[in-house]
Amino acid sequence: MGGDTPGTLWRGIEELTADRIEALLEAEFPVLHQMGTMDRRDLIRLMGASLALAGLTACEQRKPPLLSQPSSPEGQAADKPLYFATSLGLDGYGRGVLVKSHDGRPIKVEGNPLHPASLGATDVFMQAEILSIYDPDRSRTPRLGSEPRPWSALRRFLAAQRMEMTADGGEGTHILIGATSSPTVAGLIERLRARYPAMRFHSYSPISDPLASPELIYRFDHVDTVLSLGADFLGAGPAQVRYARDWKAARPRLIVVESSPTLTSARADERLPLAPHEIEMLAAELAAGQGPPSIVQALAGTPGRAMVIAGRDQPPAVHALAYRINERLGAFGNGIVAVAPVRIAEGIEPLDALVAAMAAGRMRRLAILDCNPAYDAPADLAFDTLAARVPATLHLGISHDETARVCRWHAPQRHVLESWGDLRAYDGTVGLQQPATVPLVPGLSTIELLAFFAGERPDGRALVRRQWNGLSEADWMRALEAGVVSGTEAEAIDPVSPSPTRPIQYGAMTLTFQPDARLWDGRFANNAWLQELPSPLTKLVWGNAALIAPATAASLEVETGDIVEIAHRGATVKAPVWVMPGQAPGVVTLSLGYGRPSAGRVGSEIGTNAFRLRAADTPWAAHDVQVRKVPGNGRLISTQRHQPIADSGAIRTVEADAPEEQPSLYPEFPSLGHAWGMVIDLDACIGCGACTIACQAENNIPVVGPDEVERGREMHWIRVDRYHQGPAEAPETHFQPVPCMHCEKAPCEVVCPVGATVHSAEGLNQMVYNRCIGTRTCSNNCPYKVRRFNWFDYQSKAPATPAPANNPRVTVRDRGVMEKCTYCVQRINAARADAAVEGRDIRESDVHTACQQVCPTDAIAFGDLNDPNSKVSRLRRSGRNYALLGNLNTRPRTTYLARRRRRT
Amino acid sequence: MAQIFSARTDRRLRRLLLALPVLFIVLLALGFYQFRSSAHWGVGGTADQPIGFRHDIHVSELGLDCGFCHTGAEHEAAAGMPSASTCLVCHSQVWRGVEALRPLFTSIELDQPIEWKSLYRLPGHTRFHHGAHAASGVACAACHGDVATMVKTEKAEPMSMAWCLDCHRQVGERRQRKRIEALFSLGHTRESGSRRRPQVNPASPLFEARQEQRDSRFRGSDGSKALAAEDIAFASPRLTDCSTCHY
Repeated sequence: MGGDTPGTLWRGIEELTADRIEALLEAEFPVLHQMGTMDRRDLIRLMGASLALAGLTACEQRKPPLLSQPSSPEGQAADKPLYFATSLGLDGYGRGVLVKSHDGRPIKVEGNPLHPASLGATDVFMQAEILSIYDPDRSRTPRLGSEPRPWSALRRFLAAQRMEMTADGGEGTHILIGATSSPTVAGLIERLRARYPAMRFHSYSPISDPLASPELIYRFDHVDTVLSLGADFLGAGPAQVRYARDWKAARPRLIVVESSPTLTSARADERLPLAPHEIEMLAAELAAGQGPPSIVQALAGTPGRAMVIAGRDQPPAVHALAYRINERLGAFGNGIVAVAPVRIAEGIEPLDALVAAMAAGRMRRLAILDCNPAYDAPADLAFDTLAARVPATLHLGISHDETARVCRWHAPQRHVLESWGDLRAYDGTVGLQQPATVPLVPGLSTIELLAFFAGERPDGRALVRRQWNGLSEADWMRALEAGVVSGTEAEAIDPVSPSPTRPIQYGAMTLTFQPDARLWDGRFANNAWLQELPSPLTKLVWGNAALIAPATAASLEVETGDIVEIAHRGATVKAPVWVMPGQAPGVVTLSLGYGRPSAGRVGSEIGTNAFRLRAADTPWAAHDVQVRKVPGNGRLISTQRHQPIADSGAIRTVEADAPEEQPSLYPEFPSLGHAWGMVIDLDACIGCGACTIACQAENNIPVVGPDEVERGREMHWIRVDRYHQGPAEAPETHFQPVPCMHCEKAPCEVVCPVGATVHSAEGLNQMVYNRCIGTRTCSNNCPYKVRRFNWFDYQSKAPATPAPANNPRVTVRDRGVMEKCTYCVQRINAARADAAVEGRDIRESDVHTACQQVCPTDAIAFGDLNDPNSKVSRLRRSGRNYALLGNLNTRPRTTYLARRRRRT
Repeated sequence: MAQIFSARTDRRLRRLLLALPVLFIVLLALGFYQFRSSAHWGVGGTADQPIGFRHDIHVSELGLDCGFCHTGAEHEAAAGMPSASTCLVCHSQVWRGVEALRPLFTSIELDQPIEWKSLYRLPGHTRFHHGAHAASGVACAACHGDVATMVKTEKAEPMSMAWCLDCHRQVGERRQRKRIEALFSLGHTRESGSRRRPQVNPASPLFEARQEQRDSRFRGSDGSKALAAEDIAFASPRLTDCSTCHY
């Protein structure tokens, strides 16, 4: 047992107040609080009906045929997955992935080890693309207004526009493209410009300025001290996976100054919650060589190996100050590299110029490709009303979204997993995109539509090949297979100081915005996996909330769940309050991406739309907002106190140099072959939730919807528990992923009346779905609360995962069956079968669980405990190793490595 | 007040009451017998296929190997069916134009697969890796019967869970025995060569070393038993674990 737990751990802020027992009761039995009463007669009627129908499930007879395909391509076999290397975009940057495709259906995304932004790991968005491609709300046909039209009608419209453009040279024609770094798009823009000299191009992203130059790349493995001024580099973003990996490898001393808690500050050695104007003051002091001594000393203590990162949500003034500090620290060229813009910026105009042209009324045509400004443009631009006035508008998008509704024409876009293309990573490395399936829905990709305007054949593959015609055929095939074109990193240029703008008028109360950890800017709103993924810090699902500090909440006389009205420059929104431990006083924070009017059947009208308060001049903070309590209660669903563990020492911390573990007095569990085990390093875990969603994709875990989560019935096999420690004003934050522990002395096994959960020779706690009769005794007896019950037929009721997205190697569980983490037994068995065919033993590199494979910081190790040289055995011998609820002597196969104590 | 039931009716009712449990047991026994019978599992059954393919001609007379058509049989999870173009390697010349081979050409023309009725399809909750079984030395005929002589392919074995387990138990016990013997007489085994070592992969030195490391857990420092043989036997019934086939 390594480490100890100084102080009390708490999950919800209610636990710090008087009603502790009541809070615990509600957490343990959420259903008891809302259970209605049932009539005796109704009960008997239901019981009779279920008894009568119980046998019917056995009557189903389905025997799929054996298929002889017309031809047999080399290297393909029935039932054998294929992998396609491609790049998925976020904010215009590419992240390399390998898409696993079974019988032509993409079913899982893994990271591409050769891609600099992935290194083999993924984030939550990359995992969720699998669900997006099968989204039943995808746009399927072109539309004129809201009426579906055949493709021939769209083609006639486009051809007519092309003729007119040839005549007027593209005068009054604007093309707005969502921020992208695709060289093929850049090439097409050049050709379009040659053909239509008056055509104007715009690029837009609600999260960043796509025209910023130079771009800054951070190298965490080159520094010893990092000061973050509101920069959430461990949180969601295009370089999150790589930055997290680098941070874990180097572990620089991390000081975070910010307004609202983030994943980065949860891992900080020192954290200062400050309001935006205080951050600017602090930055000014530091730039003058003053400020808090601890920060000044830390930065000065590691000459040449310290850097300051200003967050994307900081005003230009703070960026300019950070530049000055970095220059003094000598950070440029060491920790920070300035590179030429990765995203397309040359000759591209911002959104403001487009809005100005629209307002001037001279615009003839507007094409909006792959972005949704009618929803996510700053509200004061009134994009939707202006766009409706343009005579000919065309929208290309994956769904019939808000922008499609203000455009005359809408064309369905191909999903990224169906299209050809290319994208550059955060450091400029080009990753190619290739389809992993035939198009499930007829559609056009961005480059195909641009090619049509340019009078070229809209053939994605030919367009990308043409862009890369410098590559020989062999190099092209190699690049396609690897997913990256080597030697394409962006060139380093001299850093330029950002120009400070006019000073900002700060007020008493500030509203700040954050891209959402699950929905990003709202583009993933219709993705049920992401909607149901608990937000890393609040553990909120199916919605967002206004985060308010405890002190501010007290002065406003509001509590979690109350509704507040936030007013700014005449616009108001109502949002439920979440009292956020660690939030800076005087700051309200809303995450973007919620409250979409027309996202689809899953995501429409969920949560609060923060874009309605956003202004073009200060996009990340609305200063001097009025916040007042209004009557009513908001529905906030948080899993933070679900599945509580009766272990006051769930999270342990150690000094950096922990002693080796003492030998145990208990006899070992006899096991001859492999003994599978898992070790989770709490010191590396950043709480991002990628493991949860990777497990969901791999193991066909259903989505249950907000009502069921409210009753405590979420189905995730691996949850990430979030604990706080210390005062609510500035607590420490810990994350703990909890899958099934696969106890050697499992309490669940002994209580099952039908032997549906039994132990395997290799130490897996097996769940036999066909035997399970749903008594739920096992779940009741599980001290870790990791067993999940199918209360309803979640797999066939909305928002169910469409069947083609399911992994064919894992059983889809029926109603009334218990399920839980299997240690990805399908992967173990596949590795075993491959080893048997090749006549060898399973190697350590053969088996990776889904959660282990995606983890950006490599926090999860899995392998054979009987092999003393395996990574998992070595980690188990470490002095930081401890078992959750070890005092119960369940002898869990999953153990944890204690967190190292903060360096102060 | 008169009796409602006469003495005779009463006797009949008593007999009926007695007969009911007997009837129940008889029905149960019949059902069980039926469930265990080959007929229930369709042993000896055939299916009408889109093409009247004859294994006897192709295997016995022409001498084709199983793997020539079922390419996945030795290495893949599914043995697989030959593609239409594989059949046409010969049949574009031989028996060309025969009506019975029409589906092959239709398949290619329409780019549609030919649907065969499966005799050996396992239920959906059962996972099976064909290649792993072939690699472990299970002969084709052990499950599929003497296909080489079949005019019309018929199901040779019941493919029931009991039938699977029979084999898994036997092989498991055999491996277990060998393992325990190898474990506790390792010195002897080493000198007398590889005769007693488990047969999985005798060639790899890495495999040997790792086996050794694991096995050392069960031996005292002087080579004596630290655990009873029964414990170890209990600890390794891997082939009959539920998750071997169901997950």
